[in-house]
Amino acid sequence: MIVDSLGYFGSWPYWKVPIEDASGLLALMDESHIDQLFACSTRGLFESWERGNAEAIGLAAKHPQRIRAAVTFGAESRTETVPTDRVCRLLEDYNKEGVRALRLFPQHQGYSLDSAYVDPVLAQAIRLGFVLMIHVRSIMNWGMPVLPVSHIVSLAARLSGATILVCGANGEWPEVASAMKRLPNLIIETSCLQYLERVAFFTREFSSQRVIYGSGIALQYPLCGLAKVMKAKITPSERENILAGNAQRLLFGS
Amino acid sequence: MRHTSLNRRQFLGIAAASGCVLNSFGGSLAPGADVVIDAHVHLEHSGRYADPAALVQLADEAGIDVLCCSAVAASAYDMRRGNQQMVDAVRRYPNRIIGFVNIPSADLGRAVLDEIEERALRDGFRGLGEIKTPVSLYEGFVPAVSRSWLAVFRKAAALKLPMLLHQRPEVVRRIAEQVPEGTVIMAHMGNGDLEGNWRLAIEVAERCPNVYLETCGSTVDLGYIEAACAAVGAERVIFGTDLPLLDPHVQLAKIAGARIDEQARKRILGKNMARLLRLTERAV
Repeated sequence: MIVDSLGYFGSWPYWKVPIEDASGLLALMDESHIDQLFACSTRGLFESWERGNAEAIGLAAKHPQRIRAAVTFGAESRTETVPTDRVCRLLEDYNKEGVRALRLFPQHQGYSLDSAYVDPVLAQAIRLGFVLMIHVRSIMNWGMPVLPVSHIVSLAARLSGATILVCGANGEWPEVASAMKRLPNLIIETSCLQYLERVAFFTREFSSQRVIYGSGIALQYPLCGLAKVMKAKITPSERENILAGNAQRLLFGS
Repeated sequence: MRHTSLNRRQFLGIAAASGCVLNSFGGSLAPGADVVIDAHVHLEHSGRYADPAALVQLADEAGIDVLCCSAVAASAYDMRRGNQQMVDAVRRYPNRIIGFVNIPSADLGRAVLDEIEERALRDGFRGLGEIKTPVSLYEGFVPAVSRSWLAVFRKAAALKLPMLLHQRPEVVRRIAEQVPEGTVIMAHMGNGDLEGNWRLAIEVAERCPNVYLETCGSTVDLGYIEAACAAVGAERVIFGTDLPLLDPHVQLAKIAGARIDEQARKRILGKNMARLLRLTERAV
C-alpha cells in the first residue's frame, strides 16, 4: 500500500499547472499506484485558508477511500490576523471531521512560528492530536520562499509533546539530521529530498519510523517521489513504513 | 480501499508503462539505439566519488549507460590536474565515461584556450563544462558576457564541443546569440540556484535554436518536461542527473513520468546527446 502524506490540489498562482481538479488528481494517483493521499488546497496557501480547508474536507468527503484532508491556517490578510479563538474552534471542527494533518506554511501565510499569535493555535492543535507538518518549502522549486529549518527546530524544541514533520527539506538535510538527533519529535518528509541516497541515510540514522513519504502530487511528478523510496537501499519493512505505515500511524484519525 | 503492495518489479512496470527506457547498461551507441546517456556528471576531487568506479556503480544501479563527466577540480581550482583526472577516468572506462573539459575561469590567460584545445584534440574530450562560474559581468537587465568567456565559448564551438552551462536563462541567451555556431546546453533548464524559472529557459530555447535544455535538478514540477517538449521539441531536451549530488532515480523518474511519447523519451534519454556528441559504436 502507498499512502502519500503530502499532496495538493487547486491552481498554482506562479504558472499554469497540468492538473487542477479532482478527477485529474485521482487519475494521476491511479497511474502512480498511490492508494491514499493527504491533500491540502492551494487556495489555503495563497488566498483563504478557511475556504481552502473547506475545499479539502469537501474533496475528502467525495472520495473517502482515496483522499484525506490536510488543513492549514494563516493570518487573514497582511493587515489583520484572525482571532486565535476562532482558529482554535475551527481546529476542533476539523478534528471532528477526522482531520489530523495540520500543514503550516508561514512563509506563504503571513505569520512567524515565533509569534504569540501562533502559540495558542498550536497548543490547541497538539491537544486535539494534530500532527504539525511544517514546510521548509511548498514544492522543490528554487523560486519558492523558504522557511529556515532553524525556525522549525526552535518550535520543535519548545513543543516537545508535538509530532512535527519537516516537509520540503532538500539541501537543508544536514541541518535537519542534526536537529533530529537532538529532538525525537521530528520526522523528515521526503517530497523535496533530492540528494543522493538521503532516504537510506535518514532510515539508517533514525529508523524508518522517522521518515515519511510524500510526493507533492499534483504539483510535482509523483514518480519522482516514489522513485527515491522504491530505489533506496533499505529493507522491505522499512520501505513499507515509509510508504504507508508511518502515515497510517500518525495521520489517520481514530 | 485498494491495497496495492508495490514491489520493485511493479515500480519498474509503472515506469515501463510510462514508456521509460530504464535499461541496464550496455548496447550500441549508434544513433537510433536505445541508450541512456547522462549529460551532467561530476568526478569529485576527493572522497568516494573521486574514483570513477563509484560513479560507474551508481550508473549501473540506475540503468545509465554513459556518463558525460567533468572533474570538479578542473572547475574549482586546478584545471590541469582536474582534466588529467578526467583523462584517466575515461581511459579506465572508455565505453562508459565521456570526458568534458572544464576550467575555473576564462580570465586565466591563453592557457585556458590551450587547455580546451589540447583536451579536445589530444585527449578526445567531447564537451565543455559544467561552467558554473558566473560569466556575466553584472546583473543588469542585459547581461554582458565578458570577452574572455566569449573566447572560450567560440573556441569550444570551433572544436565542436557542446557546452554545458549552468547559467541563468538570460545569460545563456546572450551566449547563444553571440556564439550562434555553438551548441549550448542549459544545465538544469533554468532551475538552478535561486531561479526555478524553467518557463524563461523554455522561452530562451524557443528564441535560440542552438540552445538545448538539460533536465537535471532538484525541481520536479509536474509538467515542465512536457512543456519543454511542446515548445522546442523533444530533440532539444537532454537528460542529466548531476551525479553524484542528486539521486539519479529521481532524475530518471521525471522523464519516465512525463506524458510524452516513447520516441520523445528515447531522444531525451540518449539519442539527442549521442547526436550532439557525434557518437558511433566505434567511437566509444
